[in-house]
Amino acid sequence: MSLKPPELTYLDGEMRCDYSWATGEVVGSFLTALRDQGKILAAVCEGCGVVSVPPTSYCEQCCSEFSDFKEVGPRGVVMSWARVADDFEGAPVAAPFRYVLVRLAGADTELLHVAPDDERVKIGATVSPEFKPRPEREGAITDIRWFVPEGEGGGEQ
Amino acid sequence: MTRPVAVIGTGQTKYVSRRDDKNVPEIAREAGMRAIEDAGLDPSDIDAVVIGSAPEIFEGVNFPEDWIAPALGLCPGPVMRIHTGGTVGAATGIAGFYHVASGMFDCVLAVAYQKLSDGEAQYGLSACYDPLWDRDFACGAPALVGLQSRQYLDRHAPAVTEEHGAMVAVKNRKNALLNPYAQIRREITVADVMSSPPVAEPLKLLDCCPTSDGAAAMVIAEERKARRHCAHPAWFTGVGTCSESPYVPHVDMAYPESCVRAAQQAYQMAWIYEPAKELDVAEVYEAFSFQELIWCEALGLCGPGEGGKMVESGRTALDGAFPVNASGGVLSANPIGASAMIRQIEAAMQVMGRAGEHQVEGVHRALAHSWGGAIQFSTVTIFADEI
Repeated sequence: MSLKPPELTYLDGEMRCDYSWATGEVVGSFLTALRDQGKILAAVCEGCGVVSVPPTSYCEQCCSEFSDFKEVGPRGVVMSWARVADDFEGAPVAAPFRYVLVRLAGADTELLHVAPDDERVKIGATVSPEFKPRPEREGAITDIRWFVPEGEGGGEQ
Repeated sequence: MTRPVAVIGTGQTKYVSRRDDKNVPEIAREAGMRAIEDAGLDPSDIDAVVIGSAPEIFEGVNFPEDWIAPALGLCPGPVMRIHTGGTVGAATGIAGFYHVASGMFDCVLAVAYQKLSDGEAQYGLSACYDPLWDRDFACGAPALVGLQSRQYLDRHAPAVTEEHGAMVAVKNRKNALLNPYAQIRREITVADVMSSPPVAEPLKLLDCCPTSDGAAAMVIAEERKARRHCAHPAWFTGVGTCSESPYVPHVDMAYPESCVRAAQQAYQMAWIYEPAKELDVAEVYEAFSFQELIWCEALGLCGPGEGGKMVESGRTALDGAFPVNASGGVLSANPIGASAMIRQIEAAMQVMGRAGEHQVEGVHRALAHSWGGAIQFSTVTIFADEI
């Protein structure tokens, strides 16, 4: 059977669901230290000694358990960057800005974050975190507003 | 080694930005029935169905396997759904291979689909990130691959330049003119790519794939059935899958270990020692232009840093010595959940001699590659015209 061309219709809708993501003890400790002390804690693996941030209670390299925290950074090295020229819905900061992968001093892994659109933000450059003022912090990775070229970081306020 | 298994029929829908006339189960059915017809079979010949699609958030329906299997003619019957991010289409084909190679089933239909127009693709992609770490940055796919591409360009400058990415975009859009299923069928120039609006630099608009609606399907069968129903089956001679983590220490996006390892696994199974010489064509998952160069290097189809030279020399063109993405690739259509299976289908079609206007002469062995997640999932499938 073939239909006569019908009026094409759509059903509009939305899926609404609120979540509370359990962070787990290790990530919870990280976020608490970030919010309250402006410290960046990495996880040290008891097996291979790799230093991970984001921290995990398990080692992704050797499958051992977490042994301890180690403070890393606050400075880090830009491992890559991508420039965003135009604003878009949900963008973390106003355009133009740069997405960056940062390897914090003392860590073996990289963190995704953002940086100002400054030509000094390039691979191999040293950057440092600019924290939000304490009252604005909520225990999230975005308590670091962004990473700025070395020497300009507001650091912990 | 497992028992011989082949692709004996393929089906695709015309890829478009918005498919208005059919809903999700209907596009999956369209591709599935075409594959069964292409194999010269009847739906009653299918012993099991494997379904693949990317995150539910793209269509806003959870648990799609609930109503897609009945649309495919196997009701009641054995059904499984596979999900591995962007590689899901290929993982679905590989799961179909496992089903038959194991001896559990003789003839399996593998179907992968995506209807991105039902929802918001970039929102959905950003929502794939870990809510504890990355989601608030709304990084999506272009920015992530922007970071990957920058790492690659920086490492190999000046041997690889932004123009080399543009050459991939030009080549694949030109190939797509010969593929009736492709969505973007438009001849462009390197200058067009270089002057197109920035998305996440170094990526510009014409370095990026479109979002598409579409579905793809393959009929996968054991040897006796394959030989009876298909004059030129595409035999699975090697498969490899590998996943890593975005946070794994010293992760290398410009030469991803998961891709290297998936290729090693597939080459070992297929007894391939020099892939650049022993393979005839490749379909790689280049959602963004620079990725074609990155994947070719990680797959061992050229040396590290030689990707630029490979495209510039014309080696990977349709009439070159080693055509890559003769179909036009992901740059010409990206129904995400189906895209990795489309790579397998196009590689299989080249081996079967059924690729139509973009058929490459004398293909005996073809490679299909796919990528997914935050540069963490990789698959490689090798098809050959004999076992």
